Amino acid sequence: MKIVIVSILALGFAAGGAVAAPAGGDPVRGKQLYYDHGCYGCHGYGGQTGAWNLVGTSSPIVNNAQAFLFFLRQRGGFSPMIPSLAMPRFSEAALPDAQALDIQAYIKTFKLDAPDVDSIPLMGQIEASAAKSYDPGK
Amino acid sequence: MTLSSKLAIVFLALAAAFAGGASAQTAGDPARGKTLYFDHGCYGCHGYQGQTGARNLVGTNSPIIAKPEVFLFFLRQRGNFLPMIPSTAMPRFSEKALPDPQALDIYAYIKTFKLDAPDVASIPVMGQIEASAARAYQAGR
Amino acid sequence: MSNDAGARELGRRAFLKGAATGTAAMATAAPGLAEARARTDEAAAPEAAVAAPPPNASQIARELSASPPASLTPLVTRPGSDLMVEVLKQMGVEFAAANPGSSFEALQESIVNYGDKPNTMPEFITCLHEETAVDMASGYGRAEGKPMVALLHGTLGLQHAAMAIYQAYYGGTPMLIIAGRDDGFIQAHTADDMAAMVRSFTKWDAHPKTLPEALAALQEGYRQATTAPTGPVVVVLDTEVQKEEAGDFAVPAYRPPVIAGLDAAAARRLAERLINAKNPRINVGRLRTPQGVRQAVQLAELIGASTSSQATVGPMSFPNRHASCGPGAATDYDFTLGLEIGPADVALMGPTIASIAATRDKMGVAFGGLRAKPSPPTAPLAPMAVKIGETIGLDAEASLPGLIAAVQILLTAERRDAIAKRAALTAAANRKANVEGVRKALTVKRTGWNSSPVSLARIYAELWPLIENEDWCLASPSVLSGSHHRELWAHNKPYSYLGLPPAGGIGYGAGACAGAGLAARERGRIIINIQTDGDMNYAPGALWTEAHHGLPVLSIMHNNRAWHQELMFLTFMAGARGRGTDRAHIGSTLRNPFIDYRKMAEAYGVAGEGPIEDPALLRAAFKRGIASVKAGRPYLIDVITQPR
Repeated sequence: MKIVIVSILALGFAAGGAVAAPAGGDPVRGKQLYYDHGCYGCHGYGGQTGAWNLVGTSSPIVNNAQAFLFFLRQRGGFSPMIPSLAMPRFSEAALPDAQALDIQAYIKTFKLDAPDVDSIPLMGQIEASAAKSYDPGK
Repeated sequence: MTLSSKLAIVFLALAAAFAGGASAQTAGDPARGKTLYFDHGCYGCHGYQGQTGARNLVGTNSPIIAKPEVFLFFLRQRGNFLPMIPSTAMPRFSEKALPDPQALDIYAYIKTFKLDAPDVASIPVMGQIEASAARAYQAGR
Repeated sequence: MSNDAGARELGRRAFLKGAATGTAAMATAAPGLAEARARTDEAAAPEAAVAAPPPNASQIARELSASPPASLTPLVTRPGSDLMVEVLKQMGVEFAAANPGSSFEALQESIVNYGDKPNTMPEFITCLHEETAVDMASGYGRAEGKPMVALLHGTLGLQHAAMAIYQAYYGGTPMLIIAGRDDGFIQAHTADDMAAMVRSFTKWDAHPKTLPEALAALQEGYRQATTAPTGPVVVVLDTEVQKEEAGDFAVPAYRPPVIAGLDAAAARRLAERLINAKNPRINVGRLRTPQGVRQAVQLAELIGASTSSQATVGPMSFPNRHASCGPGAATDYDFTLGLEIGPADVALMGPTIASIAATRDKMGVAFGGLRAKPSPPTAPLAPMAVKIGETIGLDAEASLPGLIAAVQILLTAERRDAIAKRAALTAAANRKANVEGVRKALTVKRTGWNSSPVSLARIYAELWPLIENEDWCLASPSVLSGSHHRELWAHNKPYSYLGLPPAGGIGYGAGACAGAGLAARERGRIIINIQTDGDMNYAPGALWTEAHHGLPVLSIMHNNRAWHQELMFLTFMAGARGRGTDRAHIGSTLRNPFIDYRKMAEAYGVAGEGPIEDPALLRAAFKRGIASVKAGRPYLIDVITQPR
């Protein structure tokens, strides 16, 4: 059900909806901000490690400015009683729209760096190793 | 009379006795002695050149290092107790731990030490420290 | 949370643990970005990257977490931890040292973000070990006579820090320890009675249950820490209290402690005896604060008394080159006043830290000496003390203002004249004695002047002309390196020398110097650290903290490549058993391989040089080091030394 809601929202934004489209961000400034605000902490320096879902995704969250901003603002709206590694809220006060869009512009420069398993010899060795049978003497 | 002054008298007497009759020991080798001086921890209290820490191996006319016989006697009779608290007193070096020839090597090495203590007046830093000591106290400085 | 979600969370945690390590290596944004850039460029390089698959349903669900995006929930606007920081600001707490811990994440966030000038008063000081955090509080507390904060994470942080807390207790060092407590996160990190494990060697602790109680506990903790007997206190702060919305609850004003001193009548009687004495003397031990030291000087000058000082063995004592300090023109003292010191005709002596041990040590653990420490009234007389007259169990520092006021009222013009004459004689005699004493010391300390490895006396001697006109603090324990500063240097500041590790625990020095460096950085002071090698290796990460926070600490290695005292003990023991004196180095030396401290410093971002074995090179190296620390950059000089 949530997915449906999200999709509807995304579609709404994608279609231009009622909200004016924000200006595009600057990926160079965005790179600095991506580091300063700790985005790399969960998503890796290239958006490909950790919670690596910034690359190669067609999620509206990273592709639509309105959706991206809305997503940042509505996150983590509670003070957790136990430490949380969930994605934080980035409020307008902490990260103004213009800066947030710089980050989005930077995120959009990420390119997937994932060769085929077959093209990496080491992965073949690991696969072969997994197929070996247990030897009690080793 | 303190224990140490009693000991000193004993050593003086012994030194005199050895000076008379005891047979001459084979002379030690200072090169071997240098290694042994380190290995047996002599440097630990007396410094690498006998001039720091319990610095009484250099420039002293102590009877203990005046004659090899006395030196050996001194090593063998030291620390004749098992301390119940840790001790940094001079240990005993028994014949078993440090045989005579090795002890004499150390003795020979010790004898090569030369006092490295320039006159206070010849060291500029010391002059500065003396001048500083004479300066009047200023509040806040 | 479903199993899948749980597994994801664990995966993220494991990842973040690695990420935290990476972050720590990047002190500032610039080098970090360089690395980030390198990585992203690398990542972008293979253009043959496969086309991105579209997100599946679960990915999108994860992206949006479980939070319904229907409406914006309000931000937390006034968390309890902001009020805690406000309380610390009111009390003037300059620093909070910690390695980060989740049980005080809320308080840490408030420290770095709350207020008009975030991350000041207190400034968050990043440490690499809890022992360093508490040792830093020790160095700072001993130099300034007031507490800073050490933040510890639950049961783990307290245990890492326990030895440092133990030494602070032994030394009566004021500090405010805050232990985070999180009952809902990781069970092994929490305890019902968190402070129990350090209660035997802390002065006071509290575990407040509400925010108002927590703020009151921080204030009471500060009062307890700074009231004689001073010492470390622990306040346990639950995460709930740190995180709750404070609403419009107001921060209560801080009331400083009221410490009992002499009453007016007693002060007047004591003043009369001081004034009427023909040759009065004041023996000064360790007072609580620099203000106490200033008042002791004022009293000695008013009375024209000769004085003794413990400034060469620890902080907060009388300036030892003050004209009054020394034996004086004659040693037939007819009235002696002791300030926080043993036998004297009249000694003002606050309760010692040991006197409270019996009530605190509820676990019945006999930590060495603490219970037996109060000295009996028949303690051996100091050489100059006539006899034990009267001991007043009141805090000396709190008694001084009243005593000074009484003296000022009672002094007649005639007495003032006589006192001025006596003081002049005392000053002349003391200066002569001092110069003679220094001269005598120099004739001994020149031995081995040119020796290699370097003589320790030479290190102290070479330093003095270079630091004499600086505002310096010798923060490292000095007894193992021969304490040559005692005769050669002037100890005229309350913080000239910070003394031994109070319980003799090795590993204290590096952290204490960094902590003294915090105070120094704010005050244009430099820290001299004659750093023994054994001590350095317990928690060398203190070097990184010095580099990270720009602490003016000049570390000069007393590198004798051993836990040298243990080597001597072992040699004696082997000798007593008639064997293996050449094997006593096993387990007591730092050989094979030697440790390269310049490289160690470099690894932590501290500039340095060495190893130096030629004493002729010391002076130039020390000059470079002093120039560096005066510019706010810590410096380490590795010196291969004689053992002692």
